[in-house]
Amino acid sequence: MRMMLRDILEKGGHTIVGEAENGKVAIEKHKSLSPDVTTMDITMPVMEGIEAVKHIKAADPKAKIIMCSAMGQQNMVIQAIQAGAQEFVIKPFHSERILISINKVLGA
Amino acid sequence: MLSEYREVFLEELEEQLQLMDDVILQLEQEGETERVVQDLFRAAHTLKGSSAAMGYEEMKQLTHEMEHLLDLVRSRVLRVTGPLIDLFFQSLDCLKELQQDIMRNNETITDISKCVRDLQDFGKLPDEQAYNDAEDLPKPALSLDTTLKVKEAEDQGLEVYWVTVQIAADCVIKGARFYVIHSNLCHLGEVLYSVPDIDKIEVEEQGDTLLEVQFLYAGKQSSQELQDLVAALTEVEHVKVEALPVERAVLAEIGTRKQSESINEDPSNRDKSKTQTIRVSVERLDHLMNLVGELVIDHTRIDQVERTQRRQFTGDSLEELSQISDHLARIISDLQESVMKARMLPIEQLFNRFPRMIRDLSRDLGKDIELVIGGKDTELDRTLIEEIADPLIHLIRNAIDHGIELPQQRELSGKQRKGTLQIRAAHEDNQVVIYVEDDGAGINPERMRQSALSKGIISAEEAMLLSDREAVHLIFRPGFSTASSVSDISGRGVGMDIVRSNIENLNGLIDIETRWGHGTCFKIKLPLTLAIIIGLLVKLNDQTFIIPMSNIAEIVRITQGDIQTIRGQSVILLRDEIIPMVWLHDQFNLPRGEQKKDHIQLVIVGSAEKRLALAVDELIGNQEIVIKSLGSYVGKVDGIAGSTILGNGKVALIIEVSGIINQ
Repeated sequence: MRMMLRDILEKGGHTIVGEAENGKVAIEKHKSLSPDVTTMDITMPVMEGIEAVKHIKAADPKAKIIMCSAMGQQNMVIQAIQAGAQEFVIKPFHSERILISINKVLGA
Repeated sequence: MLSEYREVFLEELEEQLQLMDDVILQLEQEGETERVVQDLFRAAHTLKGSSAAMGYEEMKQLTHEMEHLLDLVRSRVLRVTGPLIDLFFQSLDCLKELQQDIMRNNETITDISKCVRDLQDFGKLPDEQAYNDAEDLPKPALSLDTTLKVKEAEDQGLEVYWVTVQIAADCVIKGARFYVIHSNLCHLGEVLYSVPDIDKIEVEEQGDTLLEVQFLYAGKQSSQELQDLVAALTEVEHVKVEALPVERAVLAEIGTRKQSESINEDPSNRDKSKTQTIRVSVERLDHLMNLVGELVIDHTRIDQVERTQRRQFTGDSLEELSQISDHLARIISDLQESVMKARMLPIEQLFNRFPRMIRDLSRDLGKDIELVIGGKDTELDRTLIEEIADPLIHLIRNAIDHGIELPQQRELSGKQRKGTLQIRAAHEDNQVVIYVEDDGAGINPERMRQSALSKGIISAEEAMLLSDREAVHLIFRPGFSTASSVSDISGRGVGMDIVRSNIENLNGLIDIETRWGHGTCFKIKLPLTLAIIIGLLVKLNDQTFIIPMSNIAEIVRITQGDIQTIRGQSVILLRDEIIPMVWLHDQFNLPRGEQKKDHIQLVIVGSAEKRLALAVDELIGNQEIVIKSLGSYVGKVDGIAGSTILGNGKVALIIEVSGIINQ
C-alpha cells in the first residue's frame, strides 16, 4: 500500500518525508516532520485513521490530510472529513486522480 | 431452507407489486410528487433486496434497474413523462410474469432482457426528459428556520446563492464526495441548507447514485468567484451559481407550513398502520374453521340429546345440561364469528387490481372512463374474494367494451365524454352485495330477443312471451353474445353464463338492471362465508335435505288446486307471476309419498329472473350447517352441493339450487 503510494507520488514529483505503519506513529511523525500533506488510510492497526486525523488536527489545525478509502466506506470517509480531513481518494489507486487531489489540497 | 421463506417472499412480492401498481397509477394521475416517487422507490428497493436474498437473479436485476431510474427521478435528473410511466408499467408486468414463474415451479422462464435494456436505455437518454440544464430545476421550498438564516446572512451583508453542483457519473462514493464539497463550502462561507440534506447522506445507502446537490450558500464571494472555486474541486463536473430571488424568502414561509404539516403527518400515520398483525397461512385458518365446524355439529348433537332426554326425564342434572349446552352455544358462536373474521379480508385487495386494468382497457379501446370505487373496506371471506375475481373482471370488461360508448358517440347522445364505471361493495342483511354499474348504452331488450332467436336459443313463440326484463336476462343463457364482433377483451359468448354459474356456485345470486341508453347495473349477492351457511332443513319422504338459505326467496303454502299446468309443466301463480314448480322428490328419484295433507309446502328459490318452486313434504326449520364435500370417490353429483352432519348424527345432503334451476 504505502509502497504503491510512494511510487505514485514520487513519480508525480513529490517528496515523501516519512511513513507510518499505524495511526499512533502517524501522529508522532506528523509532529516531528510537519509535512505539507498527509495521506491516511482508514483501517490501520493500533490506531485507526479517523482517530489519528482528530489528533493531528488538534495539534495542528492547518494540517492537510487526504484519506485513502476502499469503496463502500462512505460513512467512514464522511466521519474522517468531519474530523478534519480535506480530501479522499478511493482504492484501488489511479495515479492521476491521486496527484490531482494532492495538488488541489496543496493549492487550496 | 429457502423454501420455507419462499412463501413469505411470495406474500411480500404480491403486496409490493400491488403497491407498485397503485403508486404508478398515482404517478400518472397526480404527476410527480416526492411522496409518490419515494413510495415507488421504496417498493422497488424492498423487492430488490428480498429477491436478491432469495436468489431470484432476474427479479433483482429488473428491480435494480427500476430503482436506478427512480433514483434519477428522485434526484431530479429525470422527469416523469408518459413514456417513463409506460415503461414502469411494462416492467411491472414483467415482474408479475416472474412472479408467476416463481409460483409455478420456482424457475424463471420469462425473458426480461428487453425490459432491462429498455430501462437502461431510458436512464441514458439525454433528451428532453432529462433535466440537463439546471435552470429549470425547481428550487426546493425553504423551511422557516432556513428562511431566518437567509435573512440573517443578508443582514450581515453576505450574498446568498443557490449552488447546484453536479459530479462525474463515474465518481466513487458520491455521498462522501458531496460531503467534501460541502465541507469546502463551509470553509469558504456558510451553507444554510442543502437538497438532499448532506447530514442525511451518511445514513442513506442510496447515496451512491446521487449526482447532484443544491446548496444554499451564504458568503462574501461574487457568483463568478464562487463558481470558479467550486468548479476547481475534485470530480466536480458542473456548477451553477444563482442568486436567491428576493421574493423567495416570502414564498418560503408558505411552503414551510405545508412541508412541516406533511412531516408531522407522516410518522403518526405510520404508527397507526402498524397495528399489530401476524401472518398466518390460510391452511391453518381453514383448519381452524373446520374444527369450529365440527364443534357446531357436535353442539347440535348435544342439543338433540338434551331434547330427547327431556322427553323422558326431568331433574336438576337435565337442567344443568341444558345450561351448559346454552353456554356452549354462545361460546361456539363467538368462536365461529372470530374465526370467520380472521378469514375475512377487505375487498380492497381485489378492487385495487381494477384501476390498472381499466386504465389499460380504456386506453386500448380509446374510451374515456372514470372509475369510482366504493366500499373498499367491506370484508368478506378470502376464498370468496379469490373466487369472485374472475366473474367481476368479466363484468368490468363487458361494461367497458360493450357498455360504455366511445367519447364521440357519448357526445352525440348528449352525455359527457367521460363514461363512469362504478364498482361498489356493501354489507346488506348478512350478505355482501357488489355492484358493477356503468352509464353506458344499456341493453336493448328487442335486440336481445332477436339475437337469441337467430342463435336458436329461444323459439319465436318464446320470444313473444318474454317480458323486457326476461329478455335482458337472456344474456345469462349459454352461447349468447350480442357483440357484433368478438374482441379479445370480451364477447366470446360464453362469458355471462359462466359468470352466473360461478356466482351461483358460491351460493350467490346475480341480478341485472338496465335502461336502454342510460346504463347497466349488475348486482352480485354473496354469502359472507363459504364454510358455514344457514340452511333450511326439509323433509322428502323420510330423508332430510338442506336448501341453503341464501338461495331461498320465500316459502309459501298452496293447496293441490293451485297447481296449474302449462305445456306439461306444473306452474303456480304467485302474485301474478308464473313460477314453474317441481317436486323435489323427482330430482332424486324418491317416491312422492301419500298426499295426506291438502296443502303443499313450496320453497321458492332463485333470483328475479329465474325462479323455481320446489315442493317438499315438510319444513323442519333452519340451522347453521357446515358444508362438507362429498369426497373425491363420489365426485360431482348434479343437484347436490355437498353434505353435512345433523344433530342426530345422520348425514344430510345439501341441495345445489343452481343445478336444479338449470335442468
